[in-house]
Amino acid sequence: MRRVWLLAAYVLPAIIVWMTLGLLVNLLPLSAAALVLMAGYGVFYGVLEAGGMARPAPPGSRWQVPSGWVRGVSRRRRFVVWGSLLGPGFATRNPYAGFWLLPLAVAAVGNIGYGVLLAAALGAAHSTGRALGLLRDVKDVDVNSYLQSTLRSMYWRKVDGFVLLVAAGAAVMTYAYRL
Amino acid sequence: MSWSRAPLAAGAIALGLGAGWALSGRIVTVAILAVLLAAENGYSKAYSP
Repeated sequence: MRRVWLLAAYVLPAIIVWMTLGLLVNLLPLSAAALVLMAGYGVFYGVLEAGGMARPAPPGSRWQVPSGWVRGVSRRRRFVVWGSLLGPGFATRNPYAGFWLLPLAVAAVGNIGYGVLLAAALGAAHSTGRALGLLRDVKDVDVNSYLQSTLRSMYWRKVDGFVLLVAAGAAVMTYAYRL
Repeated sequence: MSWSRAPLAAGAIALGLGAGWALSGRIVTVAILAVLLAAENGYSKAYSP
C-alpha cells in the first residue's frame, strides 16, 4: 500500500505539470525551432556525457526540498511534498543533461492534442522512474557509500549521453523530412 | 572525448538518423525516444551523489 501511495504521489502531479507544459508550448509555432534546438543540444551534451567530460554542467538549479517542509509531518504528507516536487523533475537538481531535451521534444510536436499526450507520457515516465529509483535506493543500495553512488552516476551519465545522441539524430531526420 | 568512444557516439547518432528515416521522419520517433529518456532520467537521478 505504501508503494502505491508513493507512486501516486509522484505520478499524478507530474502528469498535471507536464500536460500544462504540453498545452502551453504547443499554443505557439515552436516545432521547427524545437527540433533544431534538440539536435544542437543533444549533440553538444551527448558528446560531453558520452565522452565522460564533466564541464560545462547541464543547465539547472541546485535547489532542494527544504527539510522544514518534510520534518515533523505525516508520512503521507511527506510523500505528497516530495512527489509533487521531484516527480515532474523541474524543481530540483538535474545532474544529467537529458532532462532538458524533454520540454523541447514536447514543443517539437506542434499539435496541441498530441503535444499534451506526449507531455503526459513524459511526466508519467519520469515520475515512475523517479519513484522506482527511490524504492530501489531504499531497498538495495548503501546510501552511505558516496563512492558507489559516484561510480553509478558516471555510468548513468554515459547512458544519458548516448540516448541524447540517438534523440539528436532522430530530431535531425524529422527536421529534414519537413524541409 | 576519448577516441575509443567516438565510433560509439557516431553510431548512436546514426541509430537516431536511421530510426527517423525508417519512420519517414514522423514525430513519433522523437516521441518514443523522449519517453525512454524521461524514464531513464527519472530512474538515474537516484544515483546522483
